[in-house]
Amino acid sequence: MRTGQFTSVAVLRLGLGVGLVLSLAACGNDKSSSAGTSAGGEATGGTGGAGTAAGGTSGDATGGGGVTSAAACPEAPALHQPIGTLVELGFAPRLAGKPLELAQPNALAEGTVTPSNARFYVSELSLLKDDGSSLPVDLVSADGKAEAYGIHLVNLEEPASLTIRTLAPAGNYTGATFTWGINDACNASSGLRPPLSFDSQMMWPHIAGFLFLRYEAQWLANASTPGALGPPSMIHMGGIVGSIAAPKAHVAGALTVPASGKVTRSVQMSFEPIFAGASSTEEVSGLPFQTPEVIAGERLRRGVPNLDVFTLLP
Amino acid sequence: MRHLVASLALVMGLGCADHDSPGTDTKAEAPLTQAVAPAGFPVGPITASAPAGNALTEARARLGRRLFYEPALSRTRTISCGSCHEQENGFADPHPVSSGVDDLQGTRNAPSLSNLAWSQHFFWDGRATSLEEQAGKPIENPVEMDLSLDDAVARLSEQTSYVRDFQVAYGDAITADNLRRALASFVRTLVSGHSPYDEHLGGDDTRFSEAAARGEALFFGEKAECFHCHTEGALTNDGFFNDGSYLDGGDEGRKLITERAGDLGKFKVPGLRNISVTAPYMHDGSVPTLREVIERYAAGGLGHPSTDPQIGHFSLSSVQLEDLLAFFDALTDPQFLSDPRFGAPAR
Repeated sequence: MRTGQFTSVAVLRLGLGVGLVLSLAACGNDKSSSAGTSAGGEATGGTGGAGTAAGGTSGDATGGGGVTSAAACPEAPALHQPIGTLVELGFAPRLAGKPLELAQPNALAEGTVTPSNARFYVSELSLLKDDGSSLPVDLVSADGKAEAYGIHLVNLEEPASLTIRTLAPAGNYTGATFTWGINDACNASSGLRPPLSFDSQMMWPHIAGFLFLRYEAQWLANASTPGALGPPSMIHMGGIVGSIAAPKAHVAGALTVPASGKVTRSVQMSFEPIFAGASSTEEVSGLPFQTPEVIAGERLRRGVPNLDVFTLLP
Repeated sequence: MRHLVASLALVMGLGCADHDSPGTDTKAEAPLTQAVAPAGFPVGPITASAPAGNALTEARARLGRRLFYEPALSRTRTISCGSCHEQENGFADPHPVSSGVDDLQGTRNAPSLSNLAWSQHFFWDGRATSLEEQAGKPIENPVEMDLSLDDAVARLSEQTSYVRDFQVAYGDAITADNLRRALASFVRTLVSGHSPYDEHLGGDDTRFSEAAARGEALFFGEKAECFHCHTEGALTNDGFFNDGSYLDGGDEGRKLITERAGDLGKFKVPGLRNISVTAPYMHDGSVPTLREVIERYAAGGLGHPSTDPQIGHFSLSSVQLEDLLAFFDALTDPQFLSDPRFGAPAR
């Protein structure tokens, strides 16, 4: 399958092996280094692997199929707007006029939906200006630092992840757009840190790549409407590198950003249009996979331009 | 290249760390902390996976190894972590459920311990969110080792060699926190990344048979769809799913922790390296063989409505079933199963 995808990992391992040999030859009796990495060695833990992770994914040395150089998906991308007012946008998933709750029954007219998994990527955020142009901004953490790879994973399992943040110049904006997924360069990468790591639950082997959105749920029809069909139980959008691109989502609603302070707004995320898009009858026979969840995901992806999923609340 | 140089320097530093440490009795053995992440995990050395407050050092890992095999950490002084997590079985228990002190029986199968340095959830129900948090719970569990951490600290403090080893590792006396940290450090070093599958991912198919390759295609293909939970490379997504093993009245799994209805019967997705030697299977050890595991999944689980929708029915020919088993065999890392660095230290 995608053997070459991991070849760069092996190359790095070889490099580290060489380093170990060098270390055994070079250590001597340096007791100071021993003290520094045992009792007092906290500085070596935690985030020390960040640079290594980025360097280790360089595919230039291997030429492996699908391996993308770290430069194409940098862990610390250059910022478009390094200064500005902090804008916090909190996704508020809703279904049938109520907040959508994960792992709980959500009532619809003919039954209940119990989502077991709902997560998606956000990247390439832009604010829309009065003149119709768009202003690329960056996804940042609460302290204003860029998010790794410029990507944010919204995971309904983790409430804190529902908020995305950016720094924006003061002004009046008419809305926002974002890539509902990740770009091809990052999609073709592997061995990365969160949010592109194995535990994102978004890694997918469909010719390599990540899902853009993953949704799974159970449907239980009401006793009064036995056999009633609910919304799709699985939607897997994305996961096919080079074959499909992540859609651009539009966030409708005006946004005023002051020169100082902080802006906090909610973005309603309506699941009805998501289900409608995933349930469309659009022909998707060109896909290399024809499972229900992949078909639903591709129908959703193609329908995104015509779906009002995201709305900036007052 | 700059990153590589930095990595080499880091490894060099760690390799030097404890050559003259007075608290270790295994100076001649290779370092425990030299491993790097197997394919599928975030690239880098395992030292990068350690949390703030418990940097991974040789002294800590070696102390943790000693503690892992220390029966004095059980009330009866008869059970150690290694009693149930046996190296030759991938650090899993070959019995469906483990026997604790006074031969008390647990309710779940002791899981395999490998490549946990990159995990965020521990135990089948995820009730611990770090190795450090996890490490103390089996000691205190009344049907496992049944010893309070305070009593464990008191017992260890009676041995001057432990007092010395803790001082070297943490610059501190023996405490419950340092006990848990040391155990976590050792478990963090249990890296399995030399199976034929690992070599295959690195481009070397010498030990990866054609049958294993066909099994791999099934595993990661749309027929068996195992990859929905067992991500390529890591072979787990570290999540919780209802795999179809739940029946009414059974172990509620993740729901016991979250108290959410939709988490009924969910259990952590285990990694699959060395899966062929970690029988029996599932959270309760109720399935004796991998063949039966495949058959259960092919049948869509046991049929409870709480089963994850991704557990669907599929059919395999007898050849395909053998191919899938060949793929599982290719996940076995003999080096990991016999590596003396991970075994019980000389006493």
